[in-house]
Amino acid sequence: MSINDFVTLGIESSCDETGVGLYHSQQGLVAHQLFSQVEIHAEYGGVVPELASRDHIQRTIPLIKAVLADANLGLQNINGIAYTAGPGLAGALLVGSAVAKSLAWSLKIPSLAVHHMEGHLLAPLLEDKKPEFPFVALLVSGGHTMLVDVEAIGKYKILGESLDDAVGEAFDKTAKILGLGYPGGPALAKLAQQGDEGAFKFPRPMVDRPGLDFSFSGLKTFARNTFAKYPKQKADIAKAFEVAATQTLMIKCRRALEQTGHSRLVVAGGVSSNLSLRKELDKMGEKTGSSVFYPRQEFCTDNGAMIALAGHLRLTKGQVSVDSDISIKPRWSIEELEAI
Amino acid sequence: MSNQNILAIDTCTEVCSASLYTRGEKISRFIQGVEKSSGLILPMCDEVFAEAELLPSDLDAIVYTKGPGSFTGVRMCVGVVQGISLAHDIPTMGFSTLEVVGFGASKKYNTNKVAVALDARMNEVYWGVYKDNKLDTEVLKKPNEVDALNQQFIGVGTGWGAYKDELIKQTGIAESVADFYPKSENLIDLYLTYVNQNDAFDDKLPLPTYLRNNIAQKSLK
Repeated sequence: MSINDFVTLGIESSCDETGVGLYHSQQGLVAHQLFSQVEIHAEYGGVVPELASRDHIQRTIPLIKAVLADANLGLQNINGIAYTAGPGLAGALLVGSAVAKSLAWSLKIPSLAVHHMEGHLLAPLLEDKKPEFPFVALLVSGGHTMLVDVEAIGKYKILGESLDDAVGEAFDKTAKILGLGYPGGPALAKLAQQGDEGAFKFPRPMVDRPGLDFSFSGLKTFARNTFAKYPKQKADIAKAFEVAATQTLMIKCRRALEQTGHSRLVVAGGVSSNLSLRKELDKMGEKTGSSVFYPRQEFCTDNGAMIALAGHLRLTKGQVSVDSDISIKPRWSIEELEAI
Repeated sequence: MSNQNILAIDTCTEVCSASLYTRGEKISRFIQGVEKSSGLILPMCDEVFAEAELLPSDLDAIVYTKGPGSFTGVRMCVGVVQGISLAHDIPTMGFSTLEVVGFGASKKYNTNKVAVALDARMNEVYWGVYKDNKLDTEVLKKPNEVDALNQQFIGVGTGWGAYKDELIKQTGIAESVADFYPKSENLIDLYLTYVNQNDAFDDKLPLPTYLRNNIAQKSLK
């Protein structure tokens, strides 16, 4: 097998989505499949970790078989297996890791523990319009809000993070306050389209302070208080919240680009599918002469394709997890990763 | 049977074990007091395969405990079996942890009446009655709600340590051994028994048995 024909199987199970992808050195992404557990957790109003794990163990193998069938490949064609080892829910991570490590062990092929956020950060490399290094990455999801200085693969420096709620979490919680169900982020964004931007002005948290950290819990509280006073103006509140959140993100991105001197911004994670955020960042990009890159909508949320890609880039440079310990890292800083 | 290569693994409780049956002999590893089986099970498999000079592709079957036990331990066992099995399309057969413990005790103490209680925490036990060479009952119960039995039975499993007085009172059993665990060696013997009786393999995906299913409250909103 030449490195040009290397095929990596990627497995993602860090939260409430089981994803499997296949990445080929020359053909790129050849297949991917996803099962979302959103409906399972909806009636609980949030992700129940034990239920997530119970579902992953039922989905992983059928999804592996499905991607192999889609790509018309057999397990004998797989040269390496990449799996999300963290950060994420411990029980959920263990399922993907156990299946991935034991499958690799049985096939006698290398496996590699992949950092979930590196998967997100590199997801735009799955697109035709790929960013070159270096760039600033804004990682925004239900679990993370982070600005990262990306010099090269594995050379990451965290520029700023949320000090409390992740932005996606603030979207979901505000949606819950407005009675929009779970997960409410996308529903809030939809409702905001009908809102009057001038009706309310919400604060832009921490923009008047130096630095690149975020705080979104105050914004959620502001929404709660406003809703208590004006219960009929749901759409206006949704609009004011979304504008405040996206402008805050934009202001910090602009500051991060200025600070690093980079001219490329990569935006990834579940919230990167938010169209108002994309509009805001594109506008900022035009003004500052920066290019902004996003993964396609389906790769904004958790998925196996990004894990296959991130693992592939490392496995083909000879990085492997050498022991057969099924280890996970529920807490794992992206700064700890090795460069390739 | 003696020409078959069979792997047995168990990680469902506080012990972790792997056995490889080949050329009519068992090569086994067993570790007690395990906090995390995740770090042990594949290295154990490495050892037994190396000693037997076999590869996973040489396997004819995999047998495993499918629970009940610790949720994470049960999924570790099933996940590892799923992975090893998928690689070479190896047939699998899962057994209840309660059956493996009951079978093991019936052999060790030469009896066909075993009351298995595994500590399920939260003042409950995974309860199994093993008699006449099969598992009769498999439920999650409070210790004072298990079956009333008699002194012909022997009680085994960690539940007999955590809730000894309540279990003795409820069951009428006089003799118990709390320090008794599932073992992959017993899985091999169970498998050989089942195959002799022409029982079928699981052709479905290996999946866990939890018994405890009430694990989250639904949102009132």
